[in-house]
Amino acid sequence: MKVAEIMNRAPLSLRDDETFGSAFERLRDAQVTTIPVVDADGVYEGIFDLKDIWRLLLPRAAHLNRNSIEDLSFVSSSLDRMKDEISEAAPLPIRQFLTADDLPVVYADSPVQQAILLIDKYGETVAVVDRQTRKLVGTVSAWQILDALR
Amino acid sequence: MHGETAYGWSAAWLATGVFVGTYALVISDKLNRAVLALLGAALLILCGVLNQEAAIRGIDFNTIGLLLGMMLIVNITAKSGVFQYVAIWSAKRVNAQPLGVLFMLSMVTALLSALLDNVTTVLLVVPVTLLITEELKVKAYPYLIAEVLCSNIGGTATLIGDPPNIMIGSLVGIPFNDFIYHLTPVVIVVLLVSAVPFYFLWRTELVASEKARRRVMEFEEREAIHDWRLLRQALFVLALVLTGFFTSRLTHLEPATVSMGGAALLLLLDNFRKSAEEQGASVQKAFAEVEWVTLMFFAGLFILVHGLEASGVIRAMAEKLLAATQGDRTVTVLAVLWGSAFLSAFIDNIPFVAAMIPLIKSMAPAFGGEQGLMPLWWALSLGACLGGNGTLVGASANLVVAGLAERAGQPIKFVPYLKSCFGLMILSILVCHVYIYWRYL
Repeated sequence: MKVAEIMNRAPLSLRDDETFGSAFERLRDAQVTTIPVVDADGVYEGIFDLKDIWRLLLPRAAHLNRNSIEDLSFVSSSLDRMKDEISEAAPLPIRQFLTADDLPVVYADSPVQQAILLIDKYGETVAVVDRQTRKLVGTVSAWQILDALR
Repeated sequence: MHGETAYGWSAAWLATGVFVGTYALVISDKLNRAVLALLGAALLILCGVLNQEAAIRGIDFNTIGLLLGMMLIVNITAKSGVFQYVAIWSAKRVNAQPLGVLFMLSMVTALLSALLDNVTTVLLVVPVTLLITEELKVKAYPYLIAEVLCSNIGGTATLIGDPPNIMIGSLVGIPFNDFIYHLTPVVIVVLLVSAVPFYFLWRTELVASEKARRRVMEFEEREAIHDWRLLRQALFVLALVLTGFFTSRLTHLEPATVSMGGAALLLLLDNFRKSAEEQGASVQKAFAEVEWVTLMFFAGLFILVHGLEASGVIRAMAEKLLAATQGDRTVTVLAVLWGSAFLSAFIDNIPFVAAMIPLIKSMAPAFGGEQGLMPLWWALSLGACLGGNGTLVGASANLVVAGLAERAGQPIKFVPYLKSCFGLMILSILVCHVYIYWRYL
């Protein structure tokens, strides 16, 4: 089975100059964990996802790639502080939040297994792009795969 | 062994060529240093400078065993969360005042690196430091710099604190307590003297709001300990190992025996009631976390230096050095101190010290036997360990902190580091100069 057979051809997407604040709200309102980000020409730039929000709420020492603090049960934590972090980031463009590991994509003619592999590794949704133009043409989500298996 | 009679000049030239070539490539930082050292060692054997038997005899397994054992013990101990506990506890003792926290974390770093390897120490202290400074909303930079400096200074105080000392202790046969007796006093003075300019440089910038300080004061350090049983076991083994080091003169136990024995005991305690499968996974993990790159670098390096020794290069160089200082012990000691400091600021002090040890050893007849060499060993240790503070590339701990700082978005750059720390390094060597002159010369 190819990705084209199950992909969503009119996916939710974000422009890379949208603010973190509006991306945050879109994610919350749509109740999804990932939204693909495109530039003005519709070229795929990366994924905005829950991890970008968690990264703001966690101390930097907890996401150093290696040697991070792996247990935060001793810290003090307040909702106000976390809200402050979100409002400080709100006016910034989301392109600042895209990380390098956001990039893996599939193509319309890729096998669905490749999409499953990427979903297993990186998160709920994987972007489908055009091979030549890198424009976003759709998304495959975990739910579409489960539906296809019905 | 292949002596100089069989190969003559060619063995000496080959050994020198391979050593210098490897050294240059290590400095250039283009290829991994362990790979280079092992490649150099293999080349020496292939060229016939050493045979395999001689090469293996050149490896000081006392140094490697000591490092390996301590790495295992520290990695297992760290799982208990005790190092985070200590850092948070110390920050709260000074009411989370930024300058107080700077002082306390520096002292914790110095103390820990006197007992543990420097790199391990900063890997344990820096993440908590980033956490505390972020909560206090102060720059992490001065804290990280202070920790770099203190890890190198503190490491100088004991035999097990820094690789140059481990090598000197092992290859020269100087006991653990002698390092404390001769080096710890001057290390304490260096720490205090270095703190003064640091205080004046940062006192106005490091201010935190009442609210930020309260957040740190609300940290529950006891919650950082996630395995009390392991903590008790680890502290018990650490105490045993330290006792082993302190009493080595009475027991005649080499440092590697003490540390490897301690590591084996801690592995046993940690895995005692686990299933075979769990044991496999946990032991595998403990060994996987060992810094094999460092250990393999040491092994290769020992072989390279042994090549120089066996082919007579070291003896020839010692004669040259003695001729240059006209056999004057005061001049030689101070030249070793300052020379080691400047060189170690720019190049890795481990290969440098590895080459200096046999060189200094062969000066014994000129200075009235082994006892006459003692000031030279202290000068080499102080120069090589403290010199590492001079630049960002001077010691492995510096680079590790720079890497962590980069990932945390607070990069430490070469030139700013040089500006604030090279002077402090010179100051520390001046203190050592006075100390050595006053105590030994």
